[in-house]
Amino acid sequence: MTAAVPEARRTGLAGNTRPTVGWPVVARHEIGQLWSDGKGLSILFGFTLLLSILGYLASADAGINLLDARESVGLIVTVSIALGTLGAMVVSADAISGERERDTLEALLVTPVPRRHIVVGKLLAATTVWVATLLVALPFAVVMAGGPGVTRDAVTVLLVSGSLSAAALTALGLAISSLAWSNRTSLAISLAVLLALAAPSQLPAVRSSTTLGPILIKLNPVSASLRLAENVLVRQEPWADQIAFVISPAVAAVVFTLVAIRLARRLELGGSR
Amino acid sequence: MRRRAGSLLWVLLCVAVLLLLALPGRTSATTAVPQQGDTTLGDVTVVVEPMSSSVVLGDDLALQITVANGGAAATDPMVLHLDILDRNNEGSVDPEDWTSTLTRPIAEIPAGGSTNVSWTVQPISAGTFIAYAVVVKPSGTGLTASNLAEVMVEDRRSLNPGNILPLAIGAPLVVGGALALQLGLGRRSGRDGRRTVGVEGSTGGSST
Repeated sequence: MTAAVPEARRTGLAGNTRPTVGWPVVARHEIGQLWSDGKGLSILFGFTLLLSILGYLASADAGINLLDARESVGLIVTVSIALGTLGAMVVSADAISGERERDTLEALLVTPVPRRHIVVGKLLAATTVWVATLLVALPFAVVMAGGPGVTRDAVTVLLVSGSLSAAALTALGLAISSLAWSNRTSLAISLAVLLALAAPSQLPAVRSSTTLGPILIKLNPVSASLRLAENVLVRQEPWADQIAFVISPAVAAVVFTLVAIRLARRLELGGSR
Repeated sequence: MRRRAGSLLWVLLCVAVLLLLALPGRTSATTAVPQQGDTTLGDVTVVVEPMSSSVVLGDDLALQITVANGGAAATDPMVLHLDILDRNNEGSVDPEDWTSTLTRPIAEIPAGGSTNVSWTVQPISAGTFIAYAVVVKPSGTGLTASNLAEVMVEDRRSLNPGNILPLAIGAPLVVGGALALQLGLGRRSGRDGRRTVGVEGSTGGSST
């Protein structure tokens, strides 16, 4: 991120006493750095490789009628949402604490870019990981769907449910990164939170419970997104019945983004601690 | 006199042993119990058709099961159960993988009547299997088993299931290629940078 400092000066941000709109500059630099130093492509390559193996195996099962086409697409969409969200969260969890650990946060904070713009720029950059995984997942969903109806459902689930879930967790990862004093702590907490959010929906006790189970799944943004994918793609439930599964990811995306921006005011170097 | 008494003792011992052997044992007594009251089931026959069939992996196979009542009285309601055995592995397969329903109710069958049940199964692996069915009365302990129907499942392999292969190979190749190119370029620019620094350093050194 240190490269953002000269650009900020070049664009006239330095020396300007009034805070300027700096998030496009930060976002552009963060995106450039993410996708030019091999980090973004490494995550995307791992995701693509896994999706290819899963897609091939699911198609082979569907080919001998062990899986319905909707089930195989549901699997791919669910895995894409989970892994795409994970990738974006890992990048965002590194955003602030990584700068702090590499001693580059100071240089970033002395630029006249408002701190919330720094956070917004970093948030947008981390979100591009989800966009990239979405671009990889869409062809798989289209090829495996084998019909316009399933394709439409798969694409809509990825765009709506996956994007909301990714936005929520990317912002959460950034908020954790703002608070954590070491990169390792930030990544560990972020992964633990993601696991804690994703696990309940997979537990048989929660899935089979008719009282508390549905409430827990709807309240949890990750499990709500995964359940929506299953409901629409595998169980062929109508979209009109899925509103409850969109609310918590949407609310979480807004709340966590606001929290991350709010925490930007308290950005500290951490060296003194 | 003593010799006659010894012979008599031997004869008595032999008679006692014979009597003990002739007495009915507990085992035979208990096995006789379930057959009481199951006479109706004894007149029931079950036939699975086709006796021998061949199917390609992934395709459906319809088994026709006929439950007939050869008795003089109507049967009680019964339960029909299907099972599958893997002949090659000499073990059993999980029949639930082949069909979602393992048991089906059979209503009362009148005397001399029969009931046909069509049971569609879908093999999940290649090999030679044995399918058979049994009927049991929920209230009783006896059962009637069918013939053994042989099911040969031919393997089906496709290298490109659902036309996914080009995408499954192409997508990682494109992303991996981009990553390799990026890493290669980064390494090259790093080398060039070091070389430039080295040249500048040596130039600077000579000038001073």
